[in-house]
Amino acid sequence: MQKTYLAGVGMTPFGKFPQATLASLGRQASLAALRDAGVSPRQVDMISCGCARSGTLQARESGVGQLIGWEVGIEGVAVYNEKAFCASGAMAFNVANLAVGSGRHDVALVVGVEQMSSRDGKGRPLTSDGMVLEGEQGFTPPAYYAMAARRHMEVYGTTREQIASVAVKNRHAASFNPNAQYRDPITIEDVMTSRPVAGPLHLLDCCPTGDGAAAAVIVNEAGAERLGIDPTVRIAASVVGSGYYGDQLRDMTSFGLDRATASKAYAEAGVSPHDVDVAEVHDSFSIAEIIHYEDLGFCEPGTGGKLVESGATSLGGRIVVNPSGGLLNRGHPLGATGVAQIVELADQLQGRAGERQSDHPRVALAHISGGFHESDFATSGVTILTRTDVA
Amino acid sequence: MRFVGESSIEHPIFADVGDGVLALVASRCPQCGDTRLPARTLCPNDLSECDVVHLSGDGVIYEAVRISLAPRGFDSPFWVGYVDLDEGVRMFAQIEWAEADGEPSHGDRVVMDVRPIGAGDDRPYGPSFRKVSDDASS
Repeated sequence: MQKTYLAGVGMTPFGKFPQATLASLGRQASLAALRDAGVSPRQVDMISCGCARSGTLQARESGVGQLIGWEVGIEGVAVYNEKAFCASGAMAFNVANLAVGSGRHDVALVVGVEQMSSRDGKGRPLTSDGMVLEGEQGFTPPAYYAMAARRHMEVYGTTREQIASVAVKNRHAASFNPNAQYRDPITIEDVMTSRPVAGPLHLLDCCPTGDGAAAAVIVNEAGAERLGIDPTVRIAASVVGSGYYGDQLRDMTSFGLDRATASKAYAEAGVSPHDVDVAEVHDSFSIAEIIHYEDLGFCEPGTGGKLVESGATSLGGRIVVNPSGGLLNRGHPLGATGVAQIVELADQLQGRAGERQSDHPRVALAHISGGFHESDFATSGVTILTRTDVA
Repeated sequence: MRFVGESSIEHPIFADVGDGVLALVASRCPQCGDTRLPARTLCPNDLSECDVVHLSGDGVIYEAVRISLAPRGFDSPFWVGYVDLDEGVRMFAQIEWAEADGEPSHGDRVVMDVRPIGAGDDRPYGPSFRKVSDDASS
């Protein structure tokens, strides 16, 4: 495999834009990334597109990547469309990184996009793709995470306030992110008195649905040379994996699949969890971030609640987690999220994250979970980015 | 009478075992004993063709939560949870709980009933677990 780099990134604001379409969102984010990279559309030799629910929500089952290519004047190239639940964008990124790393293509456009605000059944929890039998019995994603929260509270003594403080911390970070869906500061009391959703989780513990797109340009050394650019962010690892279904009686205080993908990504990048300066993790629900701290190795099992409480993961902390505001506040247009995490980390590594900038980060990690399958997740993705001046 | 999963999954989750009694249908691998519900055609471990077995419907709650914001087709509140059946299978299902019994929680012993699930006129029947009363468990 050749070394691969991020040449540019861009995204739309996330929010509820019922007039926006997959085409308009994808176009806006793609052009922003191409402009950031200094790349013209005709220099792109592949497109990889993540979009999770285009068929159900937008009556466009196939070819979202082709549609966006057409919108921005890219033609005659390889186009891959990835559908991997909430990890669709991360999967599209992974595929482009494989293609560019292999040398088959030199300049790839990755785009993640979703349009959810015009969907039928607005205001109710989105049913989970593929969980058909469970869905007929009332399964919702917040119910799953609420069960994980109850286990974590009972086994480790994690408190309701610690869980709520994830939402408060991430909202504070989002207040500095002009692309975030929710930016007004909130308190722990606001979270705990918001509308109950499932078990201990209330509305402000849950990520919103929304619309948006994010894009990135990946190059190898040949691509960088051809474009005459000198990228400063290296893609040190991009790993995806499916779930493990052997042990049905699994412990919900930890997500084993994430431990596996994280461990592969650390090995591939040659870094350890202690090297990570800034991370974007899949905080679809507040409790999830606490569990991810533990599974990604940022702290010992059971101590995630104390980690968030200590301020170590807040802006200015030892390991800043979700400086964008996370899924909870930047928003979670499914397919766009995995790429939006990359956009935030690229901005952080390049020192252009404005008031939410971390202190000279050198190693950044993105983590995403996607879908459910037989009481485990269907997909997990971990990406590690480093500055090229880090040995 | 129609059942959850009837038109969405390959193997129905209930079988009529006579006298109107419905049993949970699972698969069991003749080689390694791996038991799954819903039933699988082939064992994930060794690709053996699985046998069909009926489960007791007895188990313990792994975890359960009250749903306050209901998905479409349901009226809130209701309880759902993962139940670890005695045969080693974890299943997601609704939980019917008498207020006097407190909240369902980890380790509570439960048994299965079959009852209409969700809201509306054309409700499918599905599994629903309830606490084993102190009398019955003694």
